Formats: sequence, structure tokens, C-alpha cells
Amino acid sequence: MIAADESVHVSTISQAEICIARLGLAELATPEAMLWDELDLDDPDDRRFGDYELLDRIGRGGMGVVFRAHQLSLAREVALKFIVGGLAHKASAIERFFAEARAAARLHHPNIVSVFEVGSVDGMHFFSMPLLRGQTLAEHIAATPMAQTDSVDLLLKLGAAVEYAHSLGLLHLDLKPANVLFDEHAQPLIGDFGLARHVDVDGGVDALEMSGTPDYMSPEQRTPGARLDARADVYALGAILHELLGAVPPRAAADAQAALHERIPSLRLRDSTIAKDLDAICLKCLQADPQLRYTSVREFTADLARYRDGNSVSVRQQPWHERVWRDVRRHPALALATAVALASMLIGLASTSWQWQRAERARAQADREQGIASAQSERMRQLAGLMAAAFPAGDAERDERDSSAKHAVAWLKQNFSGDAAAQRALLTSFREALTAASKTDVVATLLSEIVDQLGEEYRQDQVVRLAKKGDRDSLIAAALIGIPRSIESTSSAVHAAVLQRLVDDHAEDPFALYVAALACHVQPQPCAHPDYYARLIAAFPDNAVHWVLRPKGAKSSDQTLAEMIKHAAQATHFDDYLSARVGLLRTALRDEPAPASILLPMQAVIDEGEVAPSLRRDAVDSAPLPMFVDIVRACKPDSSAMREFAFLRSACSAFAEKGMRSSDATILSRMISGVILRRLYKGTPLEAEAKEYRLQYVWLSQFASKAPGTAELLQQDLVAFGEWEAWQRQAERAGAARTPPPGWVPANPVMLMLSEERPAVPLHH
Amino acid sequence: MATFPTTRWSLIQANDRSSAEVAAAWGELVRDYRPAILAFFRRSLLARDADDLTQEFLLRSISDGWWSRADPQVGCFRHFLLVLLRRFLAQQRDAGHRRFEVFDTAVVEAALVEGTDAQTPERQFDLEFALCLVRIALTELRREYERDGRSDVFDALQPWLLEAPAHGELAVLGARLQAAPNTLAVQLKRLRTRFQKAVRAALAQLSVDAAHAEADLTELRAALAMGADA
Repeated sequence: MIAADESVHVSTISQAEICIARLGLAELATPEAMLWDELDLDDPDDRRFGDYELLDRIGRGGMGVVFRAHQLSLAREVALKFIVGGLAHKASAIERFFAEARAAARLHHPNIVSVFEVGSVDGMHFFSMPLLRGQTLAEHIAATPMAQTDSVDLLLKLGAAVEYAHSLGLLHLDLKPANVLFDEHAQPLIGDFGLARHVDVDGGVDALEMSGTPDYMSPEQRTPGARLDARADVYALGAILHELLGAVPPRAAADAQAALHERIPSLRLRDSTIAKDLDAICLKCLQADPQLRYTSVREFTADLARYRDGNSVSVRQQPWHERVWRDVRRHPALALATAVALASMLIGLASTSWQWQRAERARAQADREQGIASAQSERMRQLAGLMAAAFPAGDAERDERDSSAKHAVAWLKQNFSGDAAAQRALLTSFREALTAASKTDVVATLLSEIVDQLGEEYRQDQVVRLAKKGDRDSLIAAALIGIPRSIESTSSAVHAAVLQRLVDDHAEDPFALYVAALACHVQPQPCAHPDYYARLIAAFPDNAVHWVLRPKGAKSSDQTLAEMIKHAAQATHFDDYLSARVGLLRTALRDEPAPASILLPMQAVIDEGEVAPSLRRDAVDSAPLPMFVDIVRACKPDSSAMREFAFLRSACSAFAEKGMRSSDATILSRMISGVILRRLYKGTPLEAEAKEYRLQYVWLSQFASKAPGTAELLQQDLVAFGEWEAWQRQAERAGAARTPPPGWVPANPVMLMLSEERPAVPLHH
Repeated sequence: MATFPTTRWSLIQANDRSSAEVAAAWGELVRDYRPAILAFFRRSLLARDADDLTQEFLLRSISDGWWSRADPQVGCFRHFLLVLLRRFLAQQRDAGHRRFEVFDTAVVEAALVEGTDAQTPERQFDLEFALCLVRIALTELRREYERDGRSDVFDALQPWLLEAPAHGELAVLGARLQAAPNTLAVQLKRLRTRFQKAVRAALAQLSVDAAHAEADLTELRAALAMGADA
């Protein structure tokens, strides 16, 4: 028998091995931490870096760590900038970095910091440039405000340099005061062209991950996939001008996400001494819609020059007041990180904790960057939407969907243990998102998982309550509900006592004895009461099903199996008590309120009035059935038992014929019996009959649904008419015939085949 | 420099190799990771037959050329192997006649015996896979030291990978290797770094690109974090 007790082989892995492996797979220090914290500049080995000897750390920012270094081959001091952060890890980003940095190395302009060399050593990517000892513009502004005329002169120089780069097809995309350095002659030089991008044939580039500095970044740079062109740099130049004139970057004060696309207010509102023309020029650069900005840096510098020279500028009275609202609420970097994490979590490929932490971090980071005052509910809604989008749906993905639902609820159970209200809030968002995504079939799956995983307390309560009532029906119901569902749970003391009472007090009742033996037969752990089975078959040997219920853990040799089948074959009938047990369970659980621990999460998915019936249906559906594995194996034409015992073939077929045709047998019993017969009687009418049953079953199973209304009716019919008839009625309600039309073949014809007839399992990832 | 080199896994996926060459590469791979395969079966419902199943899996995967079923999108060996294992196990279980239905009654049975996540074959597989990977990395690293004529340093320092020896122990080691204790401490630090790089290199051999290798690394790390105590 395929039994849980045989499956637990604990491998012998030593803790030391695990620790070594953890060390081996541990996260390496980030290049930034390595360069900034771990590098020991007193150690000559650490100091040596290719052709360079690192001398001092000069500074670090979001994307780089800069050292003063000595270039050995040319005996000169240089600044060495290492690429760190997100860029440093992605192969595509690194490739791009090299391509663009080499292009930047071709720039020769008096106001651009040259790039000497681009390279990498030991996986660290760098470029070298002249060592400038002056201040940056950022430091300069912080120390001394700049006069309007000086600001204009400065912007004209910077503009000319940027224009030159544009003429060679390079966009800077990270212009900001910190990237403007002054040399010893107080001349401004634009640095960090090492991160520039080369435009494609259409004169632009696609925005990638957010990598600039938000205060100086154009709105389109925050939108991956958007086209960027010269106007993104125009925006940044405008932002620098804004800071020079108004002491703050344009969006530093108004940093809410919603304000991203709002017009920047006039600088003159703060400082009326600022020239109207200059104000207009600045605001023209800072338009959220690139179409409304200067189309080139040349246009910008031309207007600046007109202003400086006292001529009228192009932008006054221009109708530039249209507001452009664009929905970029969904932060793309966030969406990607979260979706990836969720998808992995849901399909169970990876541990949840790490993924969630990462998703959380990504989101927190994104929130900060966007300046969202992140409302908890909004985040939850967003998360749920992403989860819903990633969730498999539809018939084809049934297995994945089930497993995803299982993981999702397990995650919820683990992370919000005991907090039914939080579980409900999350599930509500999730259900809404699923509905919005037209994945309503997932809702039903999710519901069964909630009931299964969170309903333990409810089930235990019911067992205790029913055991207290103590009448025969209540004891049977308690016995059925209390059977442990998973491999590590054991039967509770109350449940064990219930079984004992059934056997002691209802020894004349075949159904009561059957339930006790069934519990003993299907429980995951070996059964301590083989006597229940012994009493059942001694007192009621005429029901074939009774013989099947051998206690879990009993020895099963070919001989004992063959004997058992022989007895079962001699029985007069084949009854699974299905109608009786469903009816009994439904009555016993009627009107039982659900505890809050399960009520709240379930309310997220279904109406309150539907909670109790749904729990009841689950308890009924989950009550176990006998396991036929041993019998099917022994009854194979080529089994060792079959070879050894001559009587077995006729015993198997007598048993299976009874099972297949009995209206008191469950569908499962009928199908399994059919399998036995198909193997034993190939090419005979018996095989044809078994196949016919199978075909009809596959036909009927199409109309099975877990939707509450349908499921409720099915159980009612099952009590009144038996399972087979109930399924046929269900098909009729769905507007279908009870039997498949002539020539009908299921979408997946493999379902009609015996396992050995099925083709090799198709493989796809 | 950014192009990912040919790896053991990309070689198997490549369509320009002779089948004998690919079969040999596949055989070598699955044998290297045999303990993980065995662990998977040992945690399955067919645990009793784990050794036989492992053997059959290895043989059939090689003789039937299962690698050819790998979709080009399968970015790493571990995922593909796991898909194969799951399918193989399902087939074996089908042969054990348990699951006939896609719906309802059979599911009830399955739910009763399948156990919970804590004991999944997948988790045990990942754990053993990580250990195999580390063993392979250590073997390769030792080879590197050997090539430099420094296998004695490797052998002396390897036991201290996890925890640095006290100064006295370093002095003893130093005397044996004729090196100053401080030098040994530095070498131990480097051994750790090289060990971590070797693990990554071994993992990179099982992926088509750096992103897949990184994802693989993360998943294995998570499996290790959960440990063997489940």
C-alpha cells in the first residue's frame, strides 16, 4: 500500500554541511560595501587594482564610488569611478555601460570631464577621469547663492557642452549640480558622461530602470519604456537653473506623486526679483510633457542668450498652461519586482520569506522615491492586483492553480497567524482583484484552501461538540470529521474516544463499525486498533467494501491480499454508505456557527450567509473514502499475487463487477473497479462496459463545479438519489445530456486511458 | 565580456552538438546531482523504492534522451530536473493506481496522504542539490590550489572555513606550512572568498545566463535557510 508511514525517510545531513553550504551560497558583499567598507587600503594587495593603485576614497553616490588613484603605467593621478548599485549586477546594464562609456570617452570639450579609460577588473567596472580638485556645483550653491547673471553664464556653458554631446548622439540623462565640477580655473565641467546613453536611429532611447536623481529627472525618465530624447536633458538643465535661481530644485518641495505632472509654480511667487523672461525660460524647460519643452538644448541656450543680451525671448505669453495628467501611479520598477516575487512565491518555486522581503524592500524604496504617503490599503490593493494577475486560472492550469492557492493561503496563515481581521482584509483585496481580472474560478479554489487550512479550529470544535452530544449519528459525524487531514497531525484524544464508543456501543450497527474501521484505515499514522476491522468483517462480511478497510500499518503480503480479495468477492453487495454519510454529516453540522478565526477570512471570499453551508460542504466532501491501491495492484494480470494464486483472477473480477455496477458504490469505487476489469478482460464486452462508464464519468465531470449553489444542490441530490444519479442531474441542470453524444471525445483523451496506455508525460516547464 | 559563456547546461540545450556528446554531458550532470534525485524520491510517497526509482530515473533519462524535452526557455538545470522528477514520480504513482480523476473523489484521497509543505520532496531535493553544488565547488577549488602547487594550504585551511582558528592553532598550522599566522589568516579570508566564487561558478554551469543563475542561487539559499530540520 502506498502509505504515508513508508514515506518518511529522514536523510542524514549534518548541520556542519548545511553551515558550509550556507557560507558558500551566502550573499557576497555588494561592490559598494566591498569598496567602501571592506577594502583595506593599508593592505598593498587590496590597494592594487589592475593598472591602478587606490589611494583614497573621494566620494560615493547612488551609482558610483570614486577613488583617488595612481595610474601606474602613465604615472599620473586620476579619479577612478566604480559602478555600483543595481547597474553593477545586470549583464545587459554592464554591456550598455561599456558601450556608452566608450562613446563618452570620445567627447572632447572644454566643459566636459574627459573619460580616460573604461574597464573592469575582477568583475568591478570602472572608468577613470582627470582628478579635479575644485568644488562641485552642488557644494558651491550650498555655500554661496549665485547671482542671476552668473547663473545664466553658467547655464550657457553647460548648455553648450550638452549640445555638443547631443550632436555626437549622446544623452547625459543625469545632469545635476553634483555632476558639475569646477577646475582650478573655476571653469565648470560636466562629469559622469560614463552613464550617458547613445541615441538610436530615431534620435532617442527607451527609458530603462530608474537610475537618475529624482529631483532633476524628467517625468518620462520615470516611465520605463517611454522614449527619451534631448528634451530629457533640457528638463535637467531647467531644474539646475531653477535651483540656481530659487535655491531649491523644482520638485523638492512638491514631491507627492500626484504633483509629478503638475505645473511647476513660477519662481516669481517666491522671489519677485527674478526676471519674468528667465522665469518663463526655466518653466519652459520644466514642462511635464516633453512636447511642451524646448525641442533642443540649442533652442534653450538661444533663448538664454537672448535674455542675457536683452532681446525678447521666444517663450513669453506662450500658451503653455495645459495640464497633462498621466497615470503613472503604477511604479514600473515596483510592479516588476513585486510581480516576480509573487509569481515565484505562488508557484512555490522559492521560499516565500526572502521574496517577500525583497518585494517589500522594493516597494518601500519605490514609495520613498515617488514620495507617496503610502496608504496601507493602497499597497494592499496594488499587491492583490499583482497577485491576481500572476495567478494561474482556467482548466488547463488546474494543478498550478490549486497549488498556488495552497501556497497563498499557507503564506497568509503563517504571516498573519491569529489575525483573522488582517487575513480577511488581504483576502478581500485579492478576491476583488481576481474578480476584476475575470478569474472567478480561482475564488472557489481559494475558498476550499481557506477552509482546509484555516478551518482546523472549526473542525476540532465540531468534533468536541458532537462527541458531547453522544448519540449515534453525532458520534459517526465526529468520527468522520476528526480524521486527521495531514501527515503530521495525529488523531485527537476526543476523536480516539469517539471511535472506541462507536465500536463499544454500536457493535450491531454496520455503518457505525464501518466508520470506525474507515478512520483506522485512512489515517496517516499506523492504526493502534486493528480490532475495529476484525470486528467489522466478523460481524458484517457481506459488504465487499468492509474487506477493503484493512487498518493502516497492517502487514500486506501477497497472500493476505489475495485472501482479502477472495472474501470481498464472496460478499453479497458493495456499499460505500455514501448517501447515508453525506446526509448524516449535513444534518449534524446544520446551523453551526463558524468561529471568528475562519468566519472572517471566509467572509472575504463569500457572503456571510454562505460561510456555514460552505464549511459544512467542505466537511462532507473531505470525509475520506477507502483506498483501493493494494487491490488494484494485486489484481493486475501480471502481478506476483496473480501468478501465485490461481483463484485470484476470478476473485478480482467478481469483486470489480460488483463494484462497477453497484448503485451504492461511490463513483471512485466504480471507476477503480472498471480499471481492474479493463486490465483483466481486454477485448471483451466487459472491457467495453467499463470504458463506457469511464466515458460517461469524464463527460459528467465537466459539469462539476465548486460554485456554492451548484455544490449545495449536488450534495442534496447525492443524499436523495446516490452519487451517480446526482452527477447526471447536475449535467442536466447545466443544460447537458446525461450521457455523452455519440462519438464524443474529451478535450484530453488521455483521461480515458489506463495509466500504462498513456503516452510519456509531456514535458514543459 | 557580458555574454555568458557556454555552460554544462547550455551545452545540453545547444542544437549543434552530436547526440553522443550531449548524452555524455547529461549523464555526467545527473550523476553529479544523484544525491538530490535520491532525496527527492525518499521524501515521496514511493519512498520505499527510492533507490530503484533513482536508478531507473538515471537510466531512462539517459537512454530516452529526456534532455531533448527541455524547452529553450528552461533557464536552468535544477528547474528542469525537478520538472522531470515530478513527472516521473507522477507516472510511477499513476502506475500505482492512485489518481484516476481530475476532480473530487480522488483528490480527497490524495489530500489525506500527501503531507504538507514542510516535507515536500522538492524541499529535500533543493537542500541536497545545494550540498552537491558545494561539494562540486570544493572539489574544483581544491584542483585550482593543486594547480598552483598549494593543495597543502587548501587542505590545512579548509576545516576552518566556517570558523577562524584561534591564534594558537594558527601558529601550529603556520609552523607546519612554514607561514606566519597573519599570512595564514589572510589566506583563509581569501579561501572563503574563492570558495564563494567557486560555488557561483558551479551554479553558473547549470544556467543559460547570469539572471537564471542568480535566481537559482536565491532559491537554494532559501532552501538552506529552512535547513534539514523539517
